Amino acid sequence: MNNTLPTALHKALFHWAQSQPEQPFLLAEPVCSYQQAVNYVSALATVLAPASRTAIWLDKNNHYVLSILAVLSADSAYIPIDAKQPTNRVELILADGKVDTLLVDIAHLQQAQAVLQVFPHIKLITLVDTYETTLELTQFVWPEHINTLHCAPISHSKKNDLAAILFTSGSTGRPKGVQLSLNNLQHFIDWSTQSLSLSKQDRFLNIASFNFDISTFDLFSSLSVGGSLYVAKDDAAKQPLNLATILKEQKISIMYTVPSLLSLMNRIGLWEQAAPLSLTHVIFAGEIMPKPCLQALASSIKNCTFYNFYGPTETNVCLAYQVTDKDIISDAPLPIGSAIGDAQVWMVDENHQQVTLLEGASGELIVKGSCVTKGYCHDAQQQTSHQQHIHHTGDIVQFSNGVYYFLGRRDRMIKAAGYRIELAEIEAKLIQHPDIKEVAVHFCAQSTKIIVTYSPQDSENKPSSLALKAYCAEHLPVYMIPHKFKALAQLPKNANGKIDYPEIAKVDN
Amino acid sequence: MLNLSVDTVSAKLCQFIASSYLEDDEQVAPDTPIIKLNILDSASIFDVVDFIHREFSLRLPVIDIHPDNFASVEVLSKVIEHHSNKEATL
Repeated sequence: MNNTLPTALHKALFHWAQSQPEQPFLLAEPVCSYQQAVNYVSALATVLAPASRTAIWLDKNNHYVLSILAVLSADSAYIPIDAKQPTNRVELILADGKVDTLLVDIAHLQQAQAVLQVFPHIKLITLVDTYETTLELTQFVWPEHINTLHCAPISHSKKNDLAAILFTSGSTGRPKGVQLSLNNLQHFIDWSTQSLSLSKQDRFLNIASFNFDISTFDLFSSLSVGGSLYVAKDDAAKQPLNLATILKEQKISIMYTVPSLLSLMNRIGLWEQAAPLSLTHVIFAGEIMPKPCLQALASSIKNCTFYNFYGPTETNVCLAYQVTDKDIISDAPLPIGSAIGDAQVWMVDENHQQVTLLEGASGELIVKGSCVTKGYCHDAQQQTSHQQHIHHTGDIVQFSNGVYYFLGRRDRMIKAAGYRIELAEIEAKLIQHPDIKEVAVHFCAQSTKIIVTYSPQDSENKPSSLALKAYCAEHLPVYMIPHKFKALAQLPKNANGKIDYPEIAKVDN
Repeated sequence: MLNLSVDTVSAKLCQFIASSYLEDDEQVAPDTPIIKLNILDSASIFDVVDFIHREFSLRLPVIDIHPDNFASVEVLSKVIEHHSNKEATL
């Protein structure tokens, strides 16, 4: 394993600014060249220092990317917060992430000031277009810096190996903060730039939120090869027709997203509207790619290579598979592939015994290598195996023809529209509702709906589904708000007196 | 576009959304925040677009298929009314 601190990653920005200063780095308006990016990043890093853990709470645009790079240049780790995150969850993230600095835009300033009442020690920095004399706080007036020449990175050697903390759904009701090191990221970026033969001519499209690990590919791979990156706005995935214009006008060559969005793009005939396409690589991850979706993609996007990446946030990407012509014709499931870089993978059975790697063997997938992250930031969630760079994925896989296939989960974590959701986190919030006595949350894979079955405190006076949805909206991200609520006098129990989830699933389905 | 009042359009949309995405006894009001409450998501917006085409003979222009225009039935009904008025003056 490579123990030396990587020298590339965010520092590639400074390298490319010297050799190609005028080359556009960020393509969305206003376009930002490599030199302008260095000017912005260096100036903001000076304002941020000596931060060690910086949360970023901005609308998704070029400023988000520049802020991440400034945070890393200031020798701090970045903790991205999705723009539409409920404030209750932001508080948990700030606490568990041990955040010392919070970077916001004007759109989030008011919410941030309210949240910081609970965290008076956190330094607040606001990104502004023009100096606001009425605001008594630290402001970074970016237009004053973007065209003022800076040529050197602030920190020459990064002492802090922690690069980012990405919060995902947690089964106890608290989001889990996965700690990514610079080494984790560097391993993935080195592998992906070489395996996909990426180059400075490539134009990347970023759709994923920066709190989603997919975004690390978009940001750091484009930077690593000196390419260009188009950062789509927050609602791009909700307004896919806009993506047609971006793909066409920006001549996007590399795109990495979730199968559910690609499926929606097929449904609305987006590829025809985006023609002529410049796409050479389409990568997907986060959920199972349905074969009809892949077949429709292959018939719409010619001369393009498709890749299926696999990996929980705790390993970023650990397996990968390049789709072949044969895969497209066949109706068989698509493999998740084989281990990348220095990763080693194996399977264990229910008794944690290693499964012999024979054709057709199955078991829980275990991953070891530089891709395995440092574990969770909350001490109580820490797993000792992460110190040995080993992660137990909880995913049941099958080995066949030299590659692995995803079969399912061994616990109650699900993927919906690419989002990782612990059903227990939704239950933990709902059980705190004063009108709910018992609750079980179930995911119907066929309809892709999250369904809540509960027993009310007072059967004569049960809350409406809309009221329960509104309650969830206060505590959970929108993609975790359940679709249906069913009230029962009592939840079905098994012989041990515990909630009988299979029985509930049977009733719901 | 069929000649329908805003109230009729709104009532039909409320009924369609409630019957498609909520339990039998639940109703959607014109001001229910249907996107914020995850009643409609990016895929189901296109179900509603298809419904509008089928029921009101109106094809919403691509530019208007934006989550902000589906924030509530009230907002969506105004978008539909705007397009029907435009058609009427042509």
